[in-house]
Amino acid sequence: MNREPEAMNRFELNTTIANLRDLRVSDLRDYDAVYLGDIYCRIYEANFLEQLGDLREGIRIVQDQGKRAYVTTYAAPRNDFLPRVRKMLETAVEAGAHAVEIHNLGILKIAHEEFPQLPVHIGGFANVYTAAGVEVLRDFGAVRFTPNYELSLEEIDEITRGCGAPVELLVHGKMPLGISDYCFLLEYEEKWGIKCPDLCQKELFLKQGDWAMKSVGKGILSGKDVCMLEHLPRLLAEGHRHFRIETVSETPAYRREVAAVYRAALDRAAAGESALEEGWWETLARHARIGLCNGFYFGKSGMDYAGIRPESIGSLLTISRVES
Amino acid sequence: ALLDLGIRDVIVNDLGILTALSRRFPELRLTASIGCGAQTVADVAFFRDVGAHAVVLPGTVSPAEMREIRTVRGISVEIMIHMVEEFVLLGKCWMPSYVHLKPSPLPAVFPSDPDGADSPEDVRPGLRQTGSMKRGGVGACFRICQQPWELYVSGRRMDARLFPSRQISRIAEVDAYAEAGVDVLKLQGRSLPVELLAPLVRGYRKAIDGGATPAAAASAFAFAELPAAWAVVGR
Repeated sequence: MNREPEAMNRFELNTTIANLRDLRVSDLRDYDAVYLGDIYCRIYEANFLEQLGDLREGIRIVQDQGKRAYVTTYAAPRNDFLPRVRKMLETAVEAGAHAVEIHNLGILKIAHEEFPQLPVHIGGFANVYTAAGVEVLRDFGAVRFTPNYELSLEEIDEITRGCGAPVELLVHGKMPLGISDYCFLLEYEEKWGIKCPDLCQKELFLKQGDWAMKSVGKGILSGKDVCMLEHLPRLLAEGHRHFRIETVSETPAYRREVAAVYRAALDRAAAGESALEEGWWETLARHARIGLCNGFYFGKSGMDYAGIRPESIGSLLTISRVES
Repeated sequence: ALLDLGIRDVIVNDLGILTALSRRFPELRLTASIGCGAQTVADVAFFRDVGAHAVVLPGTVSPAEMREIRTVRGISVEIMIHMVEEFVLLGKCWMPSYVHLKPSPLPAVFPSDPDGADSPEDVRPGLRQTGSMKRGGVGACFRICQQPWELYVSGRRMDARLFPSRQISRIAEVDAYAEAGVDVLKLQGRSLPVELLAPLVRGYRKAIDGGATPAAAASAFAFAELPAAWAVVGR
């Protein structure tokens, strides 16, 4: 990147938590910031984006721990979402949220015009594929960008080289692959005897042949966990400083243990060391139910793993494929 | 080159490209494609602000929603009134490239110059990635969402199924959309053979002109519909 790099040890590790219950039982010690809310569904259990009293309390809890509290927003809203989005943004501003993550361009316009004091982080569903796209979004107050998950590190570097835009990268966890207007899990309420909003709290995988994806109702995530543990020195050297561990659909144990691994690995990488502990791999493999992948960062299909850990497989379904 | 050929209307799938074209070629009439993902009144206002002259919305947007959307002035609104709605929203799907993504050769900038010898220095032929349809037109959808899945819940196989998809055919609401202020009705005809496309267009034409009842018009192209695989259960 062309911009003046920040010191290697000044990075941010963040995650996502959907509701107050999950926040209260989560150990955030290894995170610097938390995005509050579920981007997929209005009726996700006690979604911060709908429960504005909870949101206020969540922001307070995060900030009392010395962390930055961000709010996220719906990735695919309809007209009838927008009054609630406005109220949520108003609450976020009043409660002192540090930034808002935005995936939808209409919400970006609302935030920019009605809540200009709230810094905007552009989320992965906003489809940032080009430097020209970054420039447009900057005009609407965006200060940080998650490029579309499909882009390789090389392509991301091309985008950022010219404009020096701060980028946030998913370094671990299940990568969003799509969003729907509808929840097919509701078809199973009667058959399984499980009602919404408990349905999407189950561990749900869609499997076909040698690949799998995770369902969270309206959202489709990668089955495998994106894992960039081996590549943190490169990410830091290339100027990246904002890293996300996606845990919105994970357990508190996943949230805590994976963060501990990445905090330690990032500290070590920032100090110029690249050795990785065996125990770190054991932790990541234990939590990766389908296996590990690199997403699209190395120009391969999203489920491939390009590293020294080809044996990294999950504990739920044996997936043998390593590289296409 | 397009302007030299007399082409003024261009449909665009990427926000950055749309804005860049708007600034550089103000004489172009730019349409934000359905792949841009607009669904709300605020989305339409956003695309107007960045230079789009028109925006395409999916047929999932109802006439009631459209009435609110048409309060946005200064931009035309098109609706894809006859389309297949896949489970994942258009422009928001990276499932194909999760499974398969291979580099392929870039086409020459000038077809008469396949080796790129006469191309500008910074656009030499090389490799490009395939991927979703958002990747600048080089993407490919191989309909993995239409393959059967096994659904596992907490490690147990509970079902085998398809992702839901459905045919949207809102011919009965042509008048409602017109009254809501829609400027253009759009039919998703790209994948239909001529023998299916022609009666489809005729059916909608009759409905628009008032020459047929919606039911009669619908029956004229019922064979062009996919079976409804699912019911809308709310959002």
